[in-house]
Amino acid sequence: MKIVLVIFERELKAYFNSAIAYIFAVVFLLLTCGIYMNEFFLLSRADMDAYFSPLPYLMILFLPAISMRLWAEERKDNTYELLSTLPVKKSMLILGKYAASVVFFLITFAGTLPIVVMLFALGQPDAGKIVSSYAGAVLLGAMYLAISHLLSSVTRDQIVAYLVSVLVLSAYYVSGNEMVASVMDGLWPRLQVGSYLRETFSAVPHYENFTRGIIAAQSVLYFLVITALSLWMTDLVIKRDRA
Amino acid sequence: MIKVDRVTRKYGAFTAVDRVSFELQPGEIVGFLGPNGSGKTTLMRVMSTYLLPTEGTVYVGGLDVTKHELDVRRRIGYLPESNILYPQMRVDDYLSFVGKMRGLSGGRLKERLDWCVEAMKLSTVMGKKNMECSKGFKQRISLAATLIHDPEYIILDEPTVGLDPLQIFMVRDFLRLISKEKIVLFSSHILQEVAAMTQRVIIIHDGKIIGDVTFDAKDNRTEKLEAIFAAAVRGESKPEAVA
Repeated sequence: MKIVLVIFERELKAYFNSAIAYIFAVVFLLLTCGIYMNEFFLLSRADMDAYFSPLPYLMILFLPAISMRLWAEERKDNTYELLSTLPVKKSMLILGKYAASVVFFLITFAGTLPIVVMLFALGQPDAGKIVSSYAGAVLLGAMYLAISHLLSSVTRDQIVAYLVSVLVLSAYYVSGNEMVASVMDGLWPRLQVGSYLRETFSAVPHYENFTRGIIAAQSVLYFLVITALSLWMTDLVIKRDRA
Repeated sequence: MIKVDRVTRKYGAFTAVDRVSFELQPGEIVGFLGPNGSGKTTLMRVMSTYLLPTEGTVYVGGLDVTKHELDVRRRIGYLPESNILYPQMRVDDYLSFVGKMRGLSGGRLKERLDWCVEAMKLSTVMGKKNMECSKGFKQRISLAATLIHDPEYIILDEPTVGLDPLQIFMVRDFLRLISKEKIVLFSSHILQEVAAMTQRVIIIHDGKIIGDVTFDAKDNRTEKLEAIFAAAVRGESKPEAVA
């Protein structure tokens, strides 16, 4: 566990030593909060629905930028050979790196908390719904990061890691969109592929539970299982390199 | 003792190392000589546990590298040919990071950090970032990171690359000094350098050992190596041990 902390500390410092991290944080907050504030002034409602509704799509664009460097940079800079010959289990390296990416995301995401303060100052928002929406966003973000972490481990090019992650996450999330599901159902009416994907595979219904104020054990488990599965697959990819 | 036992390493259909065997005894400093692409780096990567052998194995202190990789890694110091420095990290942070990853902490870590600074003459760059250091300093920082845990077995792939003549002398003397209690294997493609540094040279060409030479006091080392090497490259000699 001590090793995980050593890796975690190095990776977190590496984020804050990079200008890209600051640019990421500022642009992410400006964009997500900007979109929300526009809706807020139009609708004059003390809730965060307009914030959490487009968030999964915006996170698809931003979160791979956090994880794209995790392994691709090590491979490109050849420091991968150093890490691979240290007396440390690969799973410890993966956990340390992943934890740093999640904490960096949480620190950035904490920049949205002034919105909550503002809502409570101006009206009487549903606190439970806001808390569950935040929980859903954090779980979805952590899952996105784990998937992009896996994709970063298969390439030595950060840009490739970013683009592939955006594509995979888009396909994954959009498969749960109702409109996309009905279009797919229309293409193959007998198979009902769209509905099947949305109901059994997609993250959308689970995320929507949270944004409605429901913290369902099934949805929490869904995010945790996909996250764990992605990290386990990263471990397999990294271990395969020795062969 | 290090025992390389009929090691073969293939990349797809290409055989980089072909049934190589030799033994290294404590107190030995052994040069590993061969032209670029001869299989030196691949074999060192197998010995360091970075790569798995396709056939055969390596025993480090009696431990099989394919079965006890973490125990082997604790006992070896491996300097890869490629850069192993994180460019954005400060030199002191980097060495401390590698020390912690190798299980050092508290007073022992400080003691070894002080040793690194003293032995590699790093005091002037300790507060700088790795990327701000000259090529010679970078190589010395890498060497310090390789030796920070005081390993019993030292495997160095082209350790003098990037060093000026004065620094090469320093490394040469340093390796002679530490090899009294340890096993040191270092690779080079520069014949004169290997001849100057060691009593024993293993020559590799096209993935095969073509000579295992131990010098005596009367030998003109460079001439002897040149003769063996030229004959072997022209195909005039078979793999053999030359005393």
